[in-house]
Amino acid sequence: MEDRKREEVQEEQKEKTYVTRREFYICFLILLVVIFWSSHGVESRLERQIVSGSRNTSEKLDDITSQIYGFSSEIEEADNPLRKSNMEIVDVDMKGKTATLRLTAMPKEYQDSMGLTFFVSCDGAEAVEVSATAGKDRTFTAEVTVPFCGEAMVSANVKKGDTEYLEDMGGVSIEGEVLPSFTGNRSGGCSWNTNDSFMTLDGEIFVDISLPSWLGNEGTFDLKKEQVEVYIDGKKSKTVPAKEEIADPFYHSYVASFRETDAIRLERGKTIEFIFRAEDANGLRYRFVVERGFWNGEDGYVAEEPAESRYGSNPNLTIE
Amino acid sequence: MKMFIDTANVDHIREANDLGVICGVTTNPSLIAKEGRDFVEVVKEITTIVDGPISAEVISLDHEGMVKEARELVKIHKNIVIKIPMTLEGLKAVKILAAEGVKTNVTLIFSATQALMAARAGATYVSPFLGRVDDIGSVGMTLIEEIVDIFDIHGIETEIIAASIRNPLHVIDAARAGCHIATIPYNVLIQMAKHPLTDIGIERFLKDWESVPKK
Repeated sequence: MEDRKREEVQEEQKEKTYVTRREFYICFLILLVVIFWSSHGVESRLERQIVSGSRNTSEKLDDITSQIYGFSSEIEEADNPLRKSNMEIVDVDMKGKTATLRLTAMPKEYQDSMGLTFFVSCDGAEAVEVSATAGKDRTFTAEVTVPFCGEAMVSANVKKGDTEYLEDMGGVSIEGEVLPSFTGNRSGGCSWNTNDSFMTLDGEIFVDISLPSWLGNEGTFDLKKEQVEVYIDGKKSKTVPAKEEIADPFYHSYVASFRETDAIRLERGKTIEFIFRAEDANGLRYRFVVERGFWNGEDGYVAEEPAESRYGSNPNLTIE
Repeated sequence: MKMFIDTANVDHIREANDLGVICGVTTNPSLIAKEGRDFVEVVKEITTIVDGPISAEVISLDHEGMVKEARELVKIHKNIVIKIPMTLEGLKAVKILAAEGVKTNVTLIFSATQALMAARAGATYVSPFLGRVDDIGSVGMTLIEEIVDIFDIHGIETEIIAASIRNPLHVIDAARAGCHIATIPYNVLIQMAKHPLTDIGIERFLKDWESVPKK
């Protein structure tokens, strides 16, 4: 009896430990999934590490680059004999078309025996030499009158004993700071006669003038004799008065109408120019080309982009 | 948003009125003077062209002088609105004129506090200046938005006129901000009606029409 019971128990245990084929495949599949997921995880970690590594490398490179720049600017700074320097326009003579620049420079190491000279060059012309005198605050100051120009470049020459140091102080656009800026456009239509031998242009010429802060604050800018002249192939064909629409402290706007009897006839192949002219209280005469265009007979009227300019740096505006 | 024309040029006012889009005028005495015409004569002429509020500016700096001028100007036409500068004297004049039923437009507004004071003094309109605020490096449209918000919150009936408009974008922004009126210079009004694609479309249409055989 006991032997039989033992055999049954052994049989039962055998049944329990026996792995069927189905169970084996399930386990195998689970194992495959686990391996796949863990390998995927490893791949993601690797990717993250690569990205982070590359970011770290790029950050390190940036650090090194900025350190190099830092060193070079420190070297430049150490080489600069000036602690600080400045240039500002302190006076404008519109009639004479000149501006007065005040130049200041404070040396790093001041000695009573030292001297400082400024060099000012307008639009690449030969530099003008200006001796500066030191004040109580050990700042060298000088004033120089320069003509209206695109850019006045300034450098300072510091003389200490037998040694001289030349330092570039940068530049200032005299015209940009001093003169009004003009913009303009034509708004209107074109129509052709039936045999395409001429076209008719009508509409308005708008001219807007923005004043620099010194001129706006002064409040003296006032134009007279404002008019728009029309030139065809360089020959004046019409003049229309321009009326002031806006007279704000820093902004003036003018309109000239070319309508009905003032409409302009333009023949094929001819060039037309709309020119705004005015005179200010100082007797300066402004001439501003608002639009230049032509009719090529194929594509119709071809106009140049509305003029936007500043005297000297653009031929659209001239001051006489 | 309603549209006024901001000009001293009678021809431009007439042209803009013919478009059917404007319902009021704001004038500038210095520009009228520059044209060499009598101010009152020009204002009278404008009233015959546009049937809507016409702002005519006083030039006195003290409130008694402003009120005296205003009483004369309102005799010209029932549509005359007295344009008064935003000063303490101007506010006193607005208070007196409001009590007399005279409509006022307080001009040269550059801050929301100025607009609030003008409204409380009894102004019919306040005119914040967009372009001039932009000129000094601030954002003019922020000023309009602030005034619109304040007037909405407190139920203030004073209408806001966006003035010193320089371009069509100013008009769009003023309309979106909830401004009641924009007073627009003639050149901007013309620009607003223009679009290069419209011009190209018309040009092409006319050229095509020319090529059609005519009987």
